[in-house]
Formats: sequence, structure tokens, C-alpha cells
Amino acid sequence: MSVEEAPGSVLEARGAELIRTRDGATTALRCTDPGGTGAIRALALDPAGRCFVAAERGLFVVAPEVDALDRVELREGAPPGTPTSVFVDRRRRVWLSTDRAFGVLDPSFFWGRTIQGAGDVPSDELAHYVPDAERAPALTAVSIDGVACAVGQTLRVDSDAPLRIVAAGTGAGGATFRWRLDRHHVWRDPELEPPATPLAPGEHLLEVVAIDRDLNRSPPFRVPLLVAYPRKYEPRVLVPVAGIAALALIGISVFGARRRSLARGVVGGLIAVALLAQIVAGVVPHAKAWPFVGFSMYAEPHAENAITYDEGIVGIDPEGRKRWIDDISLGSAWDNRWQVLGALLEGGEPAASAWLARYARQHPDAPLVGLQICARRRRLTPDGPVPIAPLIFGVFGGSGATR
Amino acid sequence: MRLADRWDRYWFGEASLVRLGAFRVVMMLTAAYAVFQHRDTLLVQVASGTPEYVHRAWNPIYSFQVLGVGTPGPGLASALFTATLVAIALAAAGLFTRATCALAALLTWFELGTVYSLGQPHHDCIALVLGLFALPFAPSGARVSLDALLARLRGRALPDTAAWAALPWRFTQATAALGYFFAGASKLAIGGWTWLNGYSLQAIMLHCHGDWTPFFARSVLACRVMSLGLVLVQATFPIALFWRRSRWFYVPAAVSFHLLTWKTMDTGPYLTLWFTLASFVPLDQVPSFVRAHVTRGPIPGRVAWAAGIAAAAWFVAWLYVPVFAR
Repeated sequence: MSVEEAPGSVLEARGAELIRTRDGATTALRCTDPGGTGAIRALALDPAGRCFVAAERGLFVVAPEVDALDRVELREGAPPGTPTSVFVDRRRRVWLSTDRAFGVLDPSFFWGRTIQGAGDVPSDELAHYVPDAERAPALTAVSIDGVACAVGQTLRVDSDAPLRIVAAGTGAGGATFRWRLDRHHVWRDPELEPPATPLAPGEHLLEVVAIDRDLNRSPPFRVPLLVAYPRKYEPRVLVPVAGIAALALIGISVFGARRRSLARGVVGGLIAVALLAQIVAGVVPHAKAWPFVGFSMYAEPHAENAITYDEGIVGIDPEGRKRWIDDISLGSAWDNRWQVLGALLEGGEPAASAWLARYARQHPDAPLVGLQICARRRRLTPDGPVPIAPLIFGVFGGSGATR
Repeated sequence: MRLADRWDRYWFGEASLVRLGAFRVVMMLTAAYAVFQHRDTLLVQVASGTPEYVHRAWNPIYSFQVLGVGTPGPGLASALFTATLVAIALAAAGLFTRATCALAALLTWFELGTVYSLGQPHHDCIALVLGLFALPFAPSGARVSLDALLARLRGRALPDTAAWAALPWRFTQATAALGYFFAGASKLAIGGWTWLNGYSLQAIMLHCHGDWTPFFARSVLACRVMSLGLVLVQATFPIALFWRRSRWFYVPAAVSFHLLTWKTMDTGPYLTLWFTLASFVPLDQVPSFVRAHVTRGPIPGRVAWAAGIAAAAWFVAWLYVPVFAR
């Protein structure tokens, strides 16, 4: 069993080993799981370049640019059981058969739908399945915390109130639902992962989609949210309280100093206020009160076997070669690459064409004909970080590319 | 001495006006860099509209919300950008110094606030902006300025020291020290001791891949040691406020830290923070320090000092100048 993962690079399954032959050299690929893959049962090429491996110990993935197989961490809705076969279609949906079930996975986030065999029912009777044969899914109603939402109507919510999203809709095999906030690239299950609170005060956009068993999506139902400040941070509360505190400090400074100089007292008080505001901001981390902000960034701990993500754009040149695009060429995303990546995923081919045209103007000697929005990944092991297959969120232009 | 009197003397005591003048110039050069590096946001995205491949929504910082500041229109955006640079240039040259320093502080705050209202606020300009606001309170134009030159031409004697002179650099020092302290303390408060396990720093480096990431992130043990050193330096940085000799350690350590985050985490050089660390350096003594080390002592030592100083100056210029050429 073998596949050509890239021009001149062939993967061949031999028992529990995956062998790569490239430019005449043969290498047995390592696996980040110490237990290995177990016997390999099927290989499937993703049109975006990755290769999925169905094996005795689970579903694994590899890509031409990495030398290690990595276990796919299957999420909600994925077919249970030991993989027996895998196939990736032109839309990059990952169709997976196991010894117990048959279903389909999202190629980026690996949640999915089990079409046959959920609840330990053997899937043997399913010999032939035609996806996309029924009507597209549709969302019929969305309510938040019991309040029915109307199209375009802004919903006012408190920042710390939990958002309970309930949706109704239709779709082949019954609709499931996913939501996202502010055009985030990850769509989440409303029951398993409701929006985390407190929400940042201000305007937000909540979107909900219905998804059928073939992972087709309905158009998003958009709910503008207006999140109020917690009472203590409302300008009408905070500004007078802070003002009184500042005046008190200034007063102490004016009357406390032996010299009793008004100018020194006032400025000394202002200095105390500014320093105190910095301390409060450091103790209660937040960002919007800049230049008095907290320092919660880079504080998240990671553990052994965690996966790191480095998102960006891979450009495809006219010869089909891929190259990583540096941040400056990426665009105006000074503080967040997703400001560009998200816009490209949302905007589709027109936005991608505009970006490619801009890139061509910047780099007339090295034009691109296509691009992939992806996240390079590494698994953290005691022996150091191991590059593993990237997540590929979208593919635009280029040779044979599909979205 | 009573606490209030110590407080008074700390901020308003006599200090070198030359150091203050030099500090003013450094801060204004830094402000010009900070504003100019956001030229794309301020002039292209605000003034000409966001390209279709960029998502940037107006989500104003708190003070803008309180003051009701909205997105400036195209004409106003260009005018504000120009006015900011003019005010900074005049303040750097020291013409009508206190007034132009106040204007430069206000406009720099507004321009950076506009950028942060279109994205997420960052830390690299906090000490800069707060330090700029401190400059007008001190006799910032008494030396190293056109104001001083004009005064001398009119036959007035220029003082060497004055009360209030230390306020701007001491306030900038305190702000920088608080920033470093909370950056270190927050890692432990939020991430816990687990943050020091090496994997956390490794993950941060790998998330924003830099040129040196493969070298520094390859070993968990090395990352563990670096995590410990990083948190230790950050959390104890306020020592530099009170123990002057410790600045020989903390200032180079902070510069090295920013250099490493740039090369391992692709943060950019954080040049604004490098420059605001000049608040810890007695700038008035720099010429005599350079003279003493470059013109006296054994020849190899002189050559080494001259080469080191020239290389450092070239490196900073190499980082600083290109932002204006983009």
C-alpha cells in the first residue's frame, strides 16, 4: 500500500511502519506516540498535501515537510472504534471507517459526525454511501439564554452572564450546531464549549451555523451582541470613584509634605495616582485601560506532549513549490496574524486574489499563484519539539487547489 | 525623614539638567519611532480604509470611550499624524520645549491609542507614553535645546542643575520597573510554578517562530533554565530603582531579554523599551565615560571600548533608521 505524497516522494506502509522514499533515499518515519501506530490499514491523501494513516492504534497524519507521524486527536462526533479505512474527498472532508462505525471529520479540527454505527451498532450493513444527496442544512431559530434572536437585532448581555445558545434547524441526518465569536476561525459546539465568560465589554458578533451529517453548513445566523461593562467598570462609576481617590491622594500629598508647596503636592499626588493605577492594572489584568494594562500574556503553562501552533500563510509558486510567508509580507497584521488570515478565510477567493496581487507588487520577482492558510505544529517532547503535520484551514488558487 | 519628605525629595530634588535634556531627546526619538512604525495603520487603514484582506474593527480603549473619541476621518488622520511628528521634532530640538513636550505627549498617546483601538494594546510604549507626560512638568528645555541656545545668545547663564529635573526619568524608571515586575509576577500568578517547566517557554517561542528559535527551543532543560532566569530578572527588576549598582546588571539583562524575545519569538526588537531604559543611564556622564575609556589606558582596552561603542551605536542605528525608510 503506497501513495505519492508529493512529486518524487512516496509513502509506503509496511506493517506498522511507514516508509518514505524520496530522491532515492528511504526513511522509516518516526511516530510521536511512543506506542507507534500499530498495523497500518489505509493511507489517504489530503488534496492540500497531507496524508492520513488509518492504523490499529488510531488515526495518524503526516505531511511531506515533516518526518513524524502524529496521532489525530479525534473530537466530538468522530466515529468511535479502531480505524480500518480512511479517504479524503475533494472538499478535504476526512471519511473514516472503524471496526464499529463510519463517519466524517472536519479536516482542520477533527470534530465530525458518525453516520452509521454510533452506540456500538456494527456498521457492516453500510456498503454504499452517497454524501450531499439531500437538501442543504438550514438554521430555523436561535435563542440565547432563552431569548429568541431576530435577524440583525442587537442583543444586550452582561459581561459575566453565561451565554446559553440553543439552536434549531434541519439537515440530512439531523442538524447539529456550532458557534463562533468575532469571526474566530474555530467553530465550537454550543453544549460542550459554550462561550467563555466574562466577555470583553463592547460590541461582538456571535454566529451560529447548522451542520448536516456530511458537514455541509448553513449560512451563519448572525447575532450582534452588546456586552455591558461590569457595574464597577462603567465610566459613570469608575471615573468619579477614581477621581475622588486621585483627589484624596493629591490632598494627602499637598498637606503631607513639610514644604506645603502646592505644585509639588499636586504633581506628587498625580505621580502616586499614576503609579497606583499601574499597580491596580497589574493586579487585575486587563488591556483596554491602556496605558494602564495588565501582563497576562505569555502566562499560560504548557506541559509535555502539548502541541504548539504557528499560524500563517504558505505561498504556492507557479511551479507548485510551497514557501512560508514572512510576517511583513503577510500584511498589516501588526499585532495579530488572524486579522489577515481570518479575513482571507472569510473573504474566499476574492480576498485571496487581492492579497496575491498585493504580494506580487511587493515581490515582482517571486510571484505566487496560490496560498494555504495553515498552522505549523510541533509536539513538545522531552527530546525537544518535533514538527508534525500542519493544520490547513483553507486553500486558494494554485494548481488543483480546493477550498 | 518623614515619608512625605522623602517622596518630595525623590521626585523634585535637584538633578542634572543636561541629563534631563539628553533624556528628552532620547524620549522624543523613541516617540517618533513608535508613531512612525504604525504609519500603515494610521495612514493606510484609518485614513484610506482597511484592505479587504484585513479584519480590524474599531474597539476603542477605555479612555477613548470615556472621552467619546471615534475613528478619525481621512483628513483628520493625516493631519494628526503630521502634527504628532512636528510636535515631536520641535520637542526633540527643544523649541518652546515644555509646550511642545506636552503636545507631543498628548498626540503620541492619541495616535498609539488609535492603533490599539484597532487591535490589541501592547506593552512596549507604556513607559514611553507615561514618561512623555512627565517631561512638561520638569525644566526639560533648560539644557540641550534650542531654548537654551537662545537663552545663552541673550546672555543668560545656563544652570547645571535644578529642582524637578529628575522627575521625568525617575517616573519612567518606576513605570518600566513596574512593567517588568508584573510581567514576571503574572507568569507565576497565572501560570503557577508549572510555567517554569521549560515546555511553556518552548511553546511560546515556537508559536511565534524567530530566527534563533530552533537553537534556543531545542532543549527542555535549557528552556527551564531560561524560564527561571527570565522570571527572576523580571520580578526583581524594581531593585534597580533603589540600588544603583544593580543597574549594571538589570539594564543589560533587560536589553538582552528583548533581543532574545525578538530573535526567538519574533516580537520585533521592542526598541521603544530599549530606549526608555535610557532612564536608568546618567546620560550627562556618557561623554566623559566614553572619553575615559577610549582615550585613556592600555591601547588594546581603548580599541576594544571604541569598537564596542561603535558597534552598539551602529546596531541601534541599524534598527532605528529603517522604520522611517519603509
